[in-house]
Amino acid sequence: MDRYVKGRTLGEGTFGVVHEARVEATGERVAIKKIRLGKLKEGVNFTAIREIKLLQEIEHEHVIALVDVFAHKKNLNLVFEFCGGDLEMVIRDKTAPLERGEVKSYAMMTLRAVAHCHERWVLHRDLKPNNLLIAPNGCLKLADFGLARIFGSPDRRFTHQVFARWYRAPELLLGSKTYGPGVDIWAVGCIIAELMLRRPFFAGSSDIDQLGKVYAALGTPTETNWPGVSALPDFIEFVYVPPPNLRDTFPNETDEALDLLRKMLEYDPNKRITAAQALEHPYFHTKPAPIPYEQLPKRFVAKEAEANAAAAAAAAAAAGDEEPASPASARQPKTGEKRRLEDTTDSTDPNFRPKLDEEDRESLRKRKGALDAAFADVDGDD
Amino acid sequence: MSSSIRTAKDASTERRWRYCDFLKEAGMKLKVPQLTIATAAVFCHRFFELDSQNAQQFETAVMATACLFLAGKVEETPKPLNDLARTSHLLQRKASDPTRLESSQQELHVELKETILRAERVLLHRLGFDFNVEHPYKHLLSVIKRMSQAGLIEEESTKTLAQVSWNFANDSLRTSLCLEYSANHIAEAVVYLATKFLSSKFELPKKWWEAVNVDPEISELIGNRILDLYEQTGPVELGYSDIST
Repeated sequence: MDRYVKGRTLGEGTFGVVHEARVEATGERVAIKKIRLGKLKEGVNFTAIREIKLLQEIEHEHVIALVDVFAHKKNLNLVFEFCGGDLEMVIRDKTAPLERGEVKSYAMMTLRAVAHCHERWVLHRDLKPNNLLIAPNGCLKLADFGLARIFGSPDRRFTHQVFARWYRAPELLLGSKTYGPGVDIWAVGCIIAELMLRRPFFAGSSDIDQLGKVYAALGTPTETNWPGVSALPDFIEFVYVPPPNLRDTFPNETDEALDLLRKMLEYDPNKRITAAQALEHPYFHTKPAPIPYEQLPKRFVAKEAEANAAAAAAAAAAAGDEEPASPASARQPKTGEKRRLEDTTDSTDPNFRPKLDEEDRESLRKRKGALDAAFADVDGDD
Repeated sequence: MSSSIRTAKDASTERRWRYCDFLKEAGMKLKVPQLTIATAAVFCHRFFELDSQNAQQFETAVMATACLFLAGKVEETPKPLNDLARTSHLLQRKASDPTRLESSQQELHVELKETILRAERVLLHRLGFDFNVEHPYKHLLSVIKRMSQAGLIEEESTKTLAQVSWNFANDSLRTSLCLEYSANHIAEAVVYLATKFLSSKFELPKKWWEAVNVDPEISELIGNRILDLYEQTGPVELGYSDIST
């Protein structure tokens, strides 16, 4: 712990707090995720072990780097490279429209990260805008591997309670337990659509509502376009809706963009495009070209500066190893590595949309449920 | 089985055999996959060999249990602490100290669970949170596949060769080879060793290794270290050996 000087709180996740910090010797900025070990009846947190193991295996320009792990007092600390923002901030920043080249750039970086994970047989299972962090130089970094799993044993059954609901693939919503990399692709499709729309594409308020939103936008799946769908555990018959024209929802996008979206949001997971194929798609190879990340507009720089000022104050107040003021009491702008949806409840963010709040909280509750289920899944293995 | 005639072994070899026997038995009782047992063995090697000073802090069996506990999580085959503690207790009781028996089972059980949890943390620290372990298994299959592709062995011989190589790979866990050589080199060596062992069954061209990029010198070195094991005792095996598990 002595090697790091602790700074402001970046966010509070399900498993612990994330702080900004500096390496004392070099001044390098890092983010430290503190995981409480406390009295765990099954020893050191399985999720933390998974995250550490997978991050050690996956090294990639667009995957967050785990630079150090250490135990301190009753906590496990994961030290990550520092990222100033995340994709959710980009989506919410309404000061300027997102250019096509910008959307393409974020989509490409995300797909590169996902393609790399899938190449190494890792499913991320929690892709969403606020897990796509953005480094100060604009480089996108996939983070939070707490729900990630190795795949590749075809008979292995997984929990379907993964992903934040809005990004959950239809096979998961229908209770499939033998899914594959397609679930990550669906989520990336939702994220790309969200970048284009500047709002979540399928913002369901419950699992049923989620299916309804997906079906309304893409038509109801049938045995023809998705063989086997009616045999899935939680299949429910919906009134048949023919696929509407995506063009109506995305009037300004190119044909290539819509074609890629359709292929990523393909109902049948076996027909869904892979990350590697998606990167070859004409969308990325027609003009405008994806903007190199160094040249992307910095959409959270102002907030960063604000946050730094707040951090300086917090650091002064909380000298030593004391906890800085909690994010709920300090009126800190929510910029940072692990900005969680729950943080928006008292947000001073000008772009804060109260309507989303209840849904966000619901989504978070669901996520917690998902994690419990994930543990039940692994603990009750035998 | 391990109490059979062995030539003199130094203390660290003695301990290595003890925890390997323990892991094998506990792993089988708990129905843990071979891969998890292998990972646990590597954790034990790393802990005991790299830090002999602190190795005294825990009983060998307790640390081995913690290694199996952690390996279960790392290899996505977790076992409840309760089951591990119970099995560990049973095996330890069998091994020694019948006087502790029956004194207060429940108390001992709770105490053991706490000790295992403590050992797990010490272990994590000693491992430097690096628990990525590469095993020779998948490498050895790829060496054999290359041999088959190069036309060195018949299709029906590949299974025998794989099985014998696999057994040598299992046995190699009783050495500290995994701390000294890469998984790939060990894989090459066990296949090399297996071809010698099976030389009566099928014939290979001279210098066959050149065709499949296997290093004969390192293979000899590693192979001899594995063969030393059989000087120390009769047949040994860590884990159940069937290739399909």
